[in-house]
Amino acid sequence: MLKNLQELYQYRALLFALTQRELSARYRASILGFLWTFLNPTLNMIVYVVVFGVLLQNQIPRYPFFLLTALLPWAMFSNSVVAGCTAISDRRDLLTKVHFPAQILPTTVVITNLVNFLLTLPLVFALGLLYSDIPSWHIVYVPLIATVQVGLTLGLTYILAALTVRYRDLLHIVTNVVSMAFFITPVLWDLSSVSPFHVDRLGISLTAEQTRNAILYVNPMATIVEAWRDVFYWHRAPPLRPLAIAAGLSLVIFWFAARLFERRKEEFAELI
Amino acid sequence: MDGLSNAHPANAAIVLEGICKEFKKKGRREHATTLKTELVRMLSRRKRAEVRPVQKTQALQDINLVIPKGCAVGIIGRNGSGKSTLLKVVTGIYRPNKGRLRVDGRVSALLELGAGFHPDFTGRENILINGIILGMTYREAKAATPKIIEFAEIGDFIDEPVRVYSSGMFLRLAFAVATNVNPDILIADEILSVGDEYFSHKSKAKMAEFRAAKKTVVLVTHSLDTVENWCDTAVWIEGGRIAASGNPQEVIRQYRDFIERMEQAPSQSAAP
Repeated sequence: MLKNLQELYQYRALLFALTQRELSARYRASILGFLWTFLNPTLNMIVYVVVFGVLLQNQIPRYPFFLLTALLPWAMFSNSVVAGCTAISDRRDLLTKVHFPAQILPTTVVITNLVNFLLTLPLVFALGLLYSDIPSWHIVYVPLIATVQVGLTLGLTYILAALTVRYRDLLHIVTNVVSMAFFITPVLWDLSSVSPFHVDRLGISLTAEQTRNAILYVNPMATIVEAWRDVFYWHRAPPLRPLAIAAGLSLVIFWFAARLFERRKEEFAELI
Repeated sequence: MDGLSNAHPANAAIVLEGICKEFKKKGRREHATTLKTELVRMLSRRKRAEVRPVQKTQALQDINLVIPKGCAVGIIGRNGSGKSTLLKVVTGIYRPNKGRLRVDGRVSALLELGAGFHPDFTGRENILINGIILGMTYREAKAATPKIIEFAEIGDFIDEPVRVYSSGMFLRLAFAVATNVNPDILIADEILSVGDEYFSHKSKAKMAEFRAAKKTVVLVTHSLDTVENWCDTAVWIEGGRIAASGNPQEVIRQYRDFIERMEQAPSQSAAP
């Protein structure tokens, strides 16, 4: 794992150049250019606000703001994971012609999305201001939450990028799983509003509290998304225990991912 | 002069010892490896019995070669003989299945001109990215840019997106970047025949400059004249083995004889 990070550091110029290229290629030759960075999540948010805020009339106050605080970090995660699948298999032009550590490619995807996410954060502040909501001291948690999220995303992206080289179906599977995961992650809804969960036939009976914990511990992204919302929307400190568990899980995933990568990297140039 | 086998290893830029490289043939099992077929195969015992052992192609067999520093080596051979695979092993893109490889010095591999060029970016931007991909640091790439632009001679087009370039301009720019990386060892796959007569002279002059600076050059080419006039030694590869190596005239004579014999008896596979 350390070797993997060391190589990334060694090739940081390449990482930097590729990330810069991805970022500026994204909106190149489009008329609105950089504005799309803000327009994309805003339009996305409006759709959900219309459906879940206006048509379904939920009781969450300042719903657009509530939504955006979770939607942006979720977008960073889901975009990274989906784009990460093809990070290696689509770069035949580079991998078969130049020698460099292949983990540069999935890392580029994650960093590109991270930068994009950080660029959209002002949108959260701006929308908050519309509701006369001023960020509290809790934003000191931002680096911590961001680190856990990057670790988790990076690990998953490594695994998916490495495996998609051989199993091209993964892209389709991941696209579907990610859109399902969107609904079991508290992005559109409020975690504190979940009701007790009963499936009599299977003998499962969870109280509301247990259901909440199940959601948080099964899905580390739920913990992370909740933490973002705690900081920006609820103005409270995120609970550290679930966050610590998510951090530990991210570390394990990344460790495993780095090992998997090390074992598979030889086949990349031959299989793509 | 047989500079290859007698060279002292301490003076060598590249040492290959018993290098073997095999590829899995796309047999029935490999034909469409998807997660589904793989799962089906894992689940049903019956299918497993039908799986044929994976067929392998020997791309390189027991290659022993010592290339001394400052030596220009021309690698010749028919299509599919393993020349390019050899270059990819030397540059580290492929890993040999057997054998030892030692490379002493900074390698620049020109396996394809313009690897990583982005069509929407200007020539100037691509110089920077391509330079870093080929192993320059950011600062080196920045510093070398004026020199590269001058060498490529594409005038005002340098600030136009690469997609509007003529193919000649594209190749000239790519060649200019590649040769300005300033490697200790230059590995090139069929690139001297780039561009028009004028540029071809210019690139030969650039190569002569490399030679004068005592750099090691390994060249794969079908131009036997280039090898004869320009290389210190020649290596002829046939069927993944070194058929002959040493004095260029001598090796080329043997190679031509072999081709002639093959033409006379096309049905038999003439052994060298």
